[in-house]
Amino acid sequence: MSTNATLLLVNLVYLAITLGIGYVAYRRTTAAADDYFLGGRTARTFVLFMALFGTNVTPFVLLGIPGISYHAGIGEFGRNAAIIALGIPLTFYLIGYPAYVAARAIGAITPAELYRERFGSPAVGLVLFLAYFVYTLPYMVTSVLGVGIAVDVLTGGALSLAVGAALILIITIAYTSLGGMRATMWTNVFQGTVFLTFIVLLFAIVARDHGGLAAATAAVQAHDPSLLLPGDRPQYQLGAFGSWGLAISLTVIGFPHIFVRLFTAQGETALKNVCRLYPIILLVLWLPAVLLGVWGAAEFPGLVGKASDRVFPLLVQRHVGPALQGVALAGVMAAVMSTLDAQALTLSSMLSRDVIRRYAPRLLAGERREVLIGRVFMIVLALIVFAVVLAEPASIFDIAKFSFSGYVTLVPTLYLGLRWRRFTAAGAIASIVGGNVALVLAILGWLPGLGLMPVAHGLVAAIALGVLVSLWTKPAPARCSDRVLGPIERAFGEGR
Amino acid sequence: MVLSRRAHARIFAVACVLLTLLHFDVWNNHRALPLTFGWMPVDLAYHVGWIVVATALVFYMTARVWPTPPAPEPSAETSTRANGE
Repeated sequence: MSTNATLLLVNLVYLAITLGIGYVAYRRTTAAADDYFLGGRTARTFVLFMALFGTNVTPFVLLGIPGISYHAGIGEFGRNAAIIALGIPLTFYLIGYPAYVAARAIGAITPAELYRERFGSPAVGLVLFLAYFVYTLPYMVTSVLGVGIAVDVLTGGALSLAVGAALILIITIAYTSLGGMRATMWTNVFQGTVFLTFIVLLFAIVARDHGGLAAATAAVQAHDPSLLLPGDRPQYQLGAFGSWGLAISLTVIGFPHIFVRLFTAQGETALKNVCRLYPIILLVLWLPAVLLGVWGAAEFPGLVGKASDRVFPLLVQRHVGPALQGVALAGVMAAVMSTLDAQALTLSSMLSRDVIRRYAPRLLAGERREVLIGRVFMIVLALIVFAVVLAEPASIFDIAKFSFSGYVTLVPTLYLGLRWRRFTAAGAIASIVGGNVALVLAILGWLPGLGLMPVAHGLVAAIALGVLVSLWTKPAPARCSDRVLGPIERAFGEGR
Repeated sequence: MVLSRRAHARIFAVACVLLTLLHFDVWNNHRALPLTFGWMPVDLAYHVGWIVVATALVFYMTARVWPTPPAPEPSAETSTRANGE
């Protein structure tokens, strides 16, 4: 059997299993919005963790991190992985847990709905939806682009980037639109297992082929010893290192597709266990991702710029046989699908509940229609993503960097909205809009850099505007605040 | 001595600040050697160790800082059932 035929066979098996899981979930899902969009809020530790982790991990880690480590060396581990091992659990506790408590108390299904109810302001829900849409779209592009690259390299160009991208979008939208949240969470367990197992396996195989870990390090030292230390590269200078750390630790709670998954937890114990597992599994995933990129620099010298995103599939091609190459492709697809499905589902739920229900309620005659509109929106979203992927505008890391920075500007609203009674709807809108304006101005170089990355400007503006405008404007009626903040304050033992 | 949740929260906050400061290991920026376990460059080994400490801190947070929600008051229906009625 030829390599391409083996690749195809392995991936057909993978896709069949994924669709099978999606079908079983579909059979168990009712047309009720709470069940379709949140899986009935019954996720326990293992499923919740795998759903969050699977959603969190994208080709940014599997292809983007080896790609950037190829040029920047082992410093990428400290710059990215270390700080999120603390940052993600911390934000899950500070923002995710209160959101979970409040969403459960008022029956909110989307993040925009939760904050709309908190402020008694549909405008806040709309602004949040727009911001989420603007930053999720490019993030979806990174995922699909990653699959396209992997398919293109591993099949030696027999299947093009465009074919790979189209295939992944069709399958993902199919099972997501049918089975909703339950389908995405169940498939994420399988998908997370596939990509985590594969990257660890590949790490072991490549190390063995080098003659061991010490020999692999020696090969890098002989090729370019600067890859074994952070050095004077601009991203490791204090200001840039700190602002990127801020961005990458805060961004995850800013992802709407992660935020909403916290609503699905069956109880606090599941949320606490997720926080405990996160740093351990991050270590298992990121160490291989960075080292494979660094080892790849010694093995495949000469990849320039975004071409280094191809180092992961190149290593796969050289070090493993056709069957495992098939698993590698399935692993990349798994990482993509487990994120793409959650992103599509979350955006579609916000569109139907927070935009159409508010501004064109005639379109929504009952929950069944709401789910249908969500499904149609997913198809439109997939078409837009496909069009942008074909343009291949920048490297995976650079596109993700833009999205991550945007999500961070939402974090002050997400936190203050749940923990500060004086925070107002006008403050929230000023924070989101002003934070994003500052971010764009900094990206364009119209604000003084001060050695920081643009995300720092966006975050400072979002905090300052949120606080100042809130102090200057009238707070939401007590009945709105009490309804959302009351359960949170009781959970934290701060009863009023 | 039994500390309150609020006291644990303060300890946790201070530990988080210290650990975050230790994340900025500029002193490792220009050295790769000695290799830990014969293969891990200094900065990489440092941040692996950092994650181990962060993991311990997260366990502390979930055990001592994260509030345990008050048990829901038994509803009339539950009380009746518990009484075997």
